[in-house]
Amino acid sequence: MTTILSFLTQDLFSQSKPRQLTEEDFYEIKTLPIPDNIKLEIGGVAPMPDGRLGVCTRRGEVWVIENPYQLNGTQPSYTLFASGLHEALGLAYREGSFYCCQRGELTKLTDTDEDGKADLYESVANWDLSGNYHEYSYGPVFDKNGDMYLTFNVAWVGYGEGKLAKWRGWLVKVKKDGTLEPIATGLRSPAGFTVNSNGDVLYGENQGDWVGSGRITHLEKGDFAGNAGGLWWTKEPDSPLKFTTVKDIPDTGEPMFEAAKKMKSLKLPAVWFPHALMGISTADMIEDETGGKFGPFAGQYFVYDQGQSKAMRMTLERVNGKYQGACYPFREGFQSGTLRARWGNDGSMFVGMTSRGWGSTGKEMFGLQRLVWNGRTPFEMKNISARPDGFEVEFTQPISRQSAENFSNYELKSFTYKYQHQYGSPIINQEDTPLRGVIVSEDRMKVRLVIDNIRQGYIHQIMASGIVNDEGQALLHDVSYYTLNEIPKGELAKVPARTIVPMPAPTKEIKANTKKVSATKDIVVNSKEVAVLLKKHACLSCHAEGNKVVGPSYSEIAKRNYSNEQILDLVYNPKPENWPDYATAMAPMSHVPKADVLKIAAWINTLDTKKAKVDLNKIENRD
Amino acid sequence: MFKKLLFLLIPVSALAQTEIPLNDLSAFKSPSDAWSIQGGVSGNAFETTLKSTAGKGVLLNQLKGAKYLSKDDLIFNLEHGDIQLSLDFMIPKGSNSGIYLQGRYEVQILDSWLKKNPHSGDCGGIYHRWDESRGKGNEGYEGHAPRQNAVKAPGLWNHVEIDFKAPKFDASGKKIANARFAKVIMNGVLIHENIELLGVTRGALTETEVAKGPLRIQGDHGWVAFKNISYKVYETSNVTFSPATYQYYEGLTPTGSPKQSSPTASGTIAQPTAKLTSVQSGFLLKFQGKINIVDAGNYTFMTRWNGMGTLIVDNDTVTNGWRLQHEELKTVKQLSSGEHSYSIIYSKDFSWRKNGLGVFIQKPLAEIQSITERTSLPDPEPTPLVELKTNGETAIQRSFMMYGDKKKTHTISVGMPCGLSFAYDLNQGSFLHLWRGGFLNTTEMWHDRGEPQTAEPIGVGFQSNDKFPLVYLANSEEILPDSLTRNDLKYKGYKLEKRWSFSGTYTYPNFMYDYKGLKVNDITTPLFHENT
Repeated sequence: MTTILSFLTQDLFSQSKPRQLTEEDFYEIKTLPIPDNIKLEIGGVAPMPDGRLGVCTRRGEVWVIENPYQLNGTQPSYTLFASGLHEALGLAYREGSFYCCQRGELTKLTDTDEDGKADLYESVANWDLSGNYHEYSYGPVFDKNGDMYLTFNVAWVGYGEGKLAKWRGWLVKVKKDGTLEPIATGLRSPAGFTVNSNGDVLYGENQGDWVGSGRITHLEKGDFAGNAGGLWWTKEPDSPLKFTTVKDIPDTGEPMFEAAKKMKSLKLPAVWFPHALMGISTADMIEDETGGKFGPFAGQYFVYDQGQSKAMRMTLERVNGKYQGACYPFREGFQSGTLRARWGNDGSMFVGMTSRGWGSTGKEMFGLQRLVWNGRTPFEMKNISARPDGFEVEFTQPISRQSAENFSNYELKSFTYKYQHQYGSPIINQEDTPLRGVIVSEDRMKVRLVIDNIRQGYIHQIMASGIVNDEGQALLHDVSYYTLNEIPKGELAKVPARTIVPMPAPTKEIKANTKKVSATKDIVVNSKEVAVLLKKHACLSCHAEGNKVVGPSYSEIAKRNYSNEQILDLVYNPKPENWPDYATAMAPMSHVPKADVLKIAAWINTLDTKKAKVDLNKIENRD
Repeated sequence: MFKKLLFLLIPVSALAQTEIPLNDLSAFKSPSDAWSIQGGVSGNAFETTLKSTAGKGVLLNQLKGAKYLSKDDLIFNLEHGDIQLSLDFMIPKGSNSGIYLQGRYEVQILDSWLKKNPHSGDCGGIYHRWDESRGKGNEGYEGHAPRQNAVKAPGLWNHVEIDFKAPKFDASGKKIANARFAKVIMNGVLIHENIELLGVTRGALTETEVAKGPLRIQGDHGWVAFKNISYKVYETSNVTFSPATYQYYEGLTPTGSPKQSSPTASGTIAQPTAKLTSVQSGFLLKFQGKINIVDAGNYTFMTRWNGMGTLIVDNDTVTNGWRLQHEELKTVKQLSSGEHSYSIIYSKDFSWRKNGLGVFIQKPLAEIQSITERTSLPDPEPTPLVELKTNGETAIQRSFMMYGDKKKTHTISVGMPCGLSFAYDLNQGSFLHLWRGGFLNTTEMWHDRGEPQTAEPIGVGFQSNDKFPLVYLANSEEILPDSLTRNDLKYKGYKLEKRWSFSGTYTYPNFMYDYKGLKVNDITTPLFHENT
């Protein structure tokens, strides 16, 4: 029945099937030209009410850009408003002044004589530093009361260390008298954070020690978000956490969800961003408060990733009083490392970039772009919410009932990460979460997915590849990851129990052993198929065929003459030491099926010879 | 990195310099009566002579007779080939002298104070060669201007270090290598590096180049004083090494010892090398070999590595610790003549730096020899200079900055259009460094991640005392505080204030503090705003 249906569907649309639409058909990236002599390594972005834009840079400059929306297609104009700051990584504009976060100081910059340049650099607050390069300071972000929040990286001394200077590893609030009020700790590399419309602080974390993967956590007073570095300062009388040391942390490598049962202050992330699949270095986030000017995602969040030069989308709901939700791909293809994003006055989004010192998919060293919705609604999973027995997926457009009711159009599984002092984590405890039933809503805007093996505390992948809309258009993005910390109570859906008991997917850390793998010399390489696999498994986020991106190019890998089995082993258990020239270590991709990796490996091993031929052609064609 | 905190401090004794005694004039060949030994000299920027006090330790030329008489040049008894020379000199206003290596190759001494664009005839220049057959006006050639003017005002001591390589000749007397200034450093500023001289400079003792010649100071142009004249002369080393055995272990336990008790590979190799490894992380290499010493003496061992290393000589641990390759460890050890055993243990458990192992030995007064194979220690990464300039306006830049061995975290550097700059500690409201020349080298901040995140002054200057100029004292006996806390001295920011001058209006920062309730403003402006 299913097979017939899908045949029918394909047949029905084969006549009139439109071109598969892409991200840029809905959201356009506009590049702001930057004068040749400016190193606009953006650390902060602050749109101004008068239509100008302030940006601050890692070289300590603040530029005010006139005509940044380029309304008539004309050039923007850059004025150096301030300079000499120490690695400015955050900027806000308020009542005629800029507020800028330097490494050791929150500075208010004011142009008192109206010559377009700041002449008053007031220290609103300043704090100790040890001199370690990794002690980055971010902010400020204003809340509704006009109070400012800052986040402080821990130092890097082979691991994240907070004790070298006060309040490193903390979220702090700047009080009126310039003193710092510590709010929460456990922060490792909190490059992006926001105060949402509800007044809640959400912050993004980068994979590292105690952080298995990128994630976003709601910070409330007294929370401990996971990295041990900042705990040193719980000894202070004004610490909102009681005295806690690293010894109080269950450092067992079990999932964070399990560790949190043993350690009450340990705050679970609201949303995990699975490493490599949904970014490698979580950066800024921003709530959609444009009221529809930016498309159909009002009230949701856009989350940037510096390494993968892209924006993702995040939805949140409160279950049992706590934030949790899902992340979705949104828009790739920015020019450099996307660190900062702020709303422009017209509901478009300014994106500030830098990639110096860290690899990024976007090849420029820095950049400034604007993401603009062009008024067309993309066909997307708009929102996923938890149900007692599964999930409800809401779409932006009515879906084809046939495609939605086809079980084979879904790929559902769940997994999580280790909570441990070691850097990063492989995907662990992966299991299938088989579909028991699908209920399509009357208006065909929603499906209720009833699943077996719903797992509290786990990240649930919801992939819905085959679903189409009335035009036969596939989903612009077919995957999402829901972090199910809490399972809501409520009425169970009435669907019959599944009769087929599925085999669980490979679980735990997969230690590939080359000896056990059968000979794979006979794999027929199908470049087209491999291209699909590379995209599906997010390989392309870090690797390209010919160029260095975040990781080495496939051609470079081919030169190492690994066997297909060796490549499989390395994909499951990467050895970053083999590639010392690359800043970012590869995450173990042990969740990717063996057969797929071997196909990719076989393709990689065809590249060496291919490349030589191409180069010869190039030489012949040179004019 | 944890290990880094546990390393033992190893005493480092620098190789002794040979000092030329200035108790009398016996170190020189028939000095003229212009030369004398004094206890001290002083001068100022406006007078053409120096004042002296009786005593020992300072060599003074008070040119008495006519100028340009070669008898007034001072020839040292010291005949040298390769040499590292270090000395201090002082000149009065308008004076002129020079240091002639081997009596033939001159580093110019001249009152070039305030000269913005020095040429080869200015202080620190390698004086030009001279050939009258080139025609009138073109006789001078192949002179080398210093990279920047590094001389201080007349009446101040200047410190010069010269690393000179003598020309080399084969057995038949044919020159096979040119003379070379490997380095000339004046007042801490590198002004020449690896400049080859195709022949002698103007005013040489003779036109003939030789393997050894006397050090000479020009004394026929005007007053000049010297002190602290010392040198190192390097000989060819005669230490030899026998091939080393090695054991290579792949795989380390978390504590850094090999996982397996038997080595992954072992054998014999001509010279120890980190290239024996096949991984970037998680290995241990052990070498054992012999050093053959001809002349007993105090030998210096130097080690550089990325990771954890230990050098053991004759069962003594000589150097040991977790280091990156730019962090050299140095120990002096007495060695008798004959055979000595050494072992090197090198392990690495991270991949973010290349494998690198360098072990060196230096015989007293001889060149450094490498025990490890040349490619065992990788070349440093190529790093472009990132320089911040003033460009006619006051430039301001905050950064980390070294002050002695302390890293100051709230430093602001101010480069004034007049060419003077200072670095200021915002936590203490005090000066750290003052200099002139360029402004700021920001390479360590803005290249790659900028891990040191430090800026460095570019130019010649001095270190200040890092003390806030004001203090509340309860009584006259109270001791001045070393430093102030963030509570005592609250930094409030700065205002850029305009100052008018004939060449234009410039802005300078006025720093604002709250010092225990007292509002303090601190602005530094130059006497002359223009860059002359």
